[in-house]
Amino acid sequence: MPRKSEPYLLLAPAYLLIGGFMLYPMVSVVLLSLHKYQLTDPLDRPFIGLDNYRAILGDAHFLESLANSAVWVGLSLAAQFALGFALSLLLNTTSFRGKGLYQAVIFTPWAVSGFLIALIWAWMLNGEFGLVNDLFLRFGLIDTKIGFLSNERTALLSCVVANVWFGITFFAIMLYAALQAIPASLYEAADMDGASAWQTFWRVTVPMVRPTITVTVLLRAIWIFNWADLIWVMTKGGPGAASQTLALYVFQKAFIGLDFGYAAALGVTLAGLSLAFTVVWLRIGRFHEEASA
Amino acid sequence: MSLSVLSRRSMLKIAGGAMLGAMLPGCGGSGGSDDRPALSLITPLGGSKDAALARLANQYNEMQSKVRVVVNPVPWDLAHAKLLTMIAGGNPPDLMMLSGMWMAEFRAMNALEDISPWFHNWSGKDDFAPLALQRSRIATAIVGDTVFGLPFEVTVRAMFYQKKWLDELGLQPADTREQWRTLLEKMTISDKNRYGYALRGSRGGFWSWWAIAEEYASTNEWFDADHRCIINSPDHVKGLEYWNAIFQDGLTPPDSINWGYTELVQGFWSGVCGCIEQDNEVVGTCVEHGMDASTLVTAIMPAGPKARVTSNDIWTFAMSSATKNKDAAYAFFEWLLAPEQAISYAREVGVIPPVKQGFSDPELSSGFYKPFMDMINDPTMLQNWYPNYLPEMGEFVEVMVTREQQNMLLKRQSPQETLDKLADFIQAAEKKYVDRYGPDTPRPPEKIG
Repeated sequence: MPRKSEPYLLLAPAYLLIGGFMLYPMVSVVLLSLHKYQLTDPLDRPFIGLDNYRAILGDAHFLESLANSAVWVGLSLAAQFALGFALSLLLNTTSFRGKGLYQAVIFTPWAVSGFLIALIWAWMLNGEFGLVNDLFLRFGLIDTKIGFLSNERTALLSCVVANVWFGITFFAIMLYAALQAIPASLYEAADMDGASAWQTFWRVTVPMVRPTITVTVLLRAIWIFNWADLIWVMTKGGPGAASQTLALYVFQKAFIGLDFGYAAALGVTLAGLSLAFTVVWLRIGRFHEEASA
Repeated sequence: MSLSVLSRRSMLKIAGGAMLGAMLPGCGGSGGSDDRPALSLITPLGGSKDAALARLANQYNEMQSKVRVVVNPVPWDLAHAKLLTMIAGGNPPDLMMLSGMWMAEFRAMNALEDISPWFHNWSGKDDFAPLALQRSRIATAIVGDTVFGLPFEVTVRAMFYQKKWLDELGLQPADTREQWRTLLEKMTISDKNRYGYALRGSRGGFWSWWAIAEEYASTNEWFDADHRCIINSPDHVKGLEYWNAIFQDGLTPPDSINWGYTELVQGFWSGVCGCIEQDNEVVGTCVEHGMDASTLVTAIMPAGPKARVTSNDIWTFAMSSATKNKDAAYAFFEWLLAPEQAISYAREVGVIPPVKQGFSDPELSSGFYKPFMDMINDPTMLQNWYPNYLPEMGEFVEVMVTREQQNMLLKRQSPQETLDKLADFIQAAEKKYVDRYGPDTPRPPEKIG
């Protein structure tokens, strides 16, 4: 084998895989968004330029979905991160018998499918037969049952609660690993310098795990933004459109409305918003400084 | 030979070996011990029905050697999206059990095989009941002489009541909507967590209130002679107002705005709600949960001010246009839909089979099932009808109606505004259809055949 071509040959499978599984679908979706493509009308697929994007600007459901997405991502992410970080700090600073088993148990939600989680929470929060209502009634916290998923003010929040339960584990796993990688000598030095626990946390712990925080928050934000399964199973986006997020709207347009052209335009918009968030977040998180340091 | 070259070559060998190793099991694994070509069948019928279908498929697999039918159940909520993805991705199943609402979509996607050549040469077609064929036409499984799907199961709605509640109150099943409303009011004791009706506020609620709108309007038409949508007429609005008032007046659990099929049925058999209207298959579910003649009574639907409506529908068996073994697939249809198998299936799961013999079957016409068969066989009732020829009907029922009816139940809009929005959507779909195919669209049949 000629030595010059060898590196290219070795790299070829990776390029082929990336091209086939990432580049091609991305380009296809962008092209699709510039066409009228109703799946029920497959023979009529004219190029319509930016018409689908113009339609998005005048689509009230898009704006409502976008606002719901902001609540969905913002609340889910903030609660997951805060609780996940707290959990990782607790695990890192405490030692007790059976800690390994405890860790395995609390990390379990991450291994459960989103569909199953949604079903479990939908039944737990059911306004008539749900466990949560039953417990609240037994402990005298409420007099009448609450329709968590049937009330337009609580439907999306109920989905957020289920999402938080699921996502805490992710942050806990990642941040716990980062915390364990912090050299003990740094804490010893801080201790010798007379730093308080709060100062140690802000001056040693947080800076040391900041790259992990930046990446995990970014990843999780994008995943949550694109995650439609949980809401679909729990509320179908209802009541009305009270819990309809942008990702769910794309799903509905594509697989129920069968308007793949419009759904592709919505999908590209969703990807654009994710990209914009990524750029802004990496700048805020000064990730490149860390990476090159 | 340098170490680095050796390691690269070794790496290539290892990688090649690993790939070969990974490919080999794939070569031998697909066929297993049964090397007959497989016919995959997607069914969203659910629980006991899928199991009964699988049992029949296994029976068929044992009695012939040409092909084996593999039944793949899919949850009802996911079935539409799953089938669409498979079709759009170019990997459809060989056989599909389809709701009438999906036929036009899948036909428009050229996903279904025209099975007319087999159908017209098959003597078994004469066994189909006229109603089953008629519902197949309404579902556009049969268009003129062209056949895309065969009727498998006829569904019809009747009212289920908690018998003990009726006895306590000294009431009988309601004969009119007026009586029914009074009955719901008497049954509702919200302090005791008892409600008259299990309302379906989420997906599928359309099938409840549409029948009432037809009862008030005394027509099953959706368009007038000039293709103008009439589903927002004053009478239709009155029908929807009647349904909306049940929720607003607290005769159904507040949470029912979010209820789909599962919650609805559970709301009934668990004793929270006094009545539901449902298909005959729910009889089996109620019996499974301990209900019997002392606690359950079924009755024909109450009549509205202008008509008594029978809400019928059909499940149809279709063949993918991409199926390689078309003759074998149709042979399976012929066997499965022969009266013996069709009635055996219907008895096992408590549904109405598509064959004439089933319509007079004593087991399927007595006890809890009697009102269902009475409604199917009564030619005086107004039979519901949907413009299933419009490919947009899937989105209409699955997304539009659910969203708008929930907005109405939340008091964000009136019944009139709700029907206006729905009429606008369906009017646009009708116009598109007429512009393309001309004004000769399917219309509701005069009477049940």
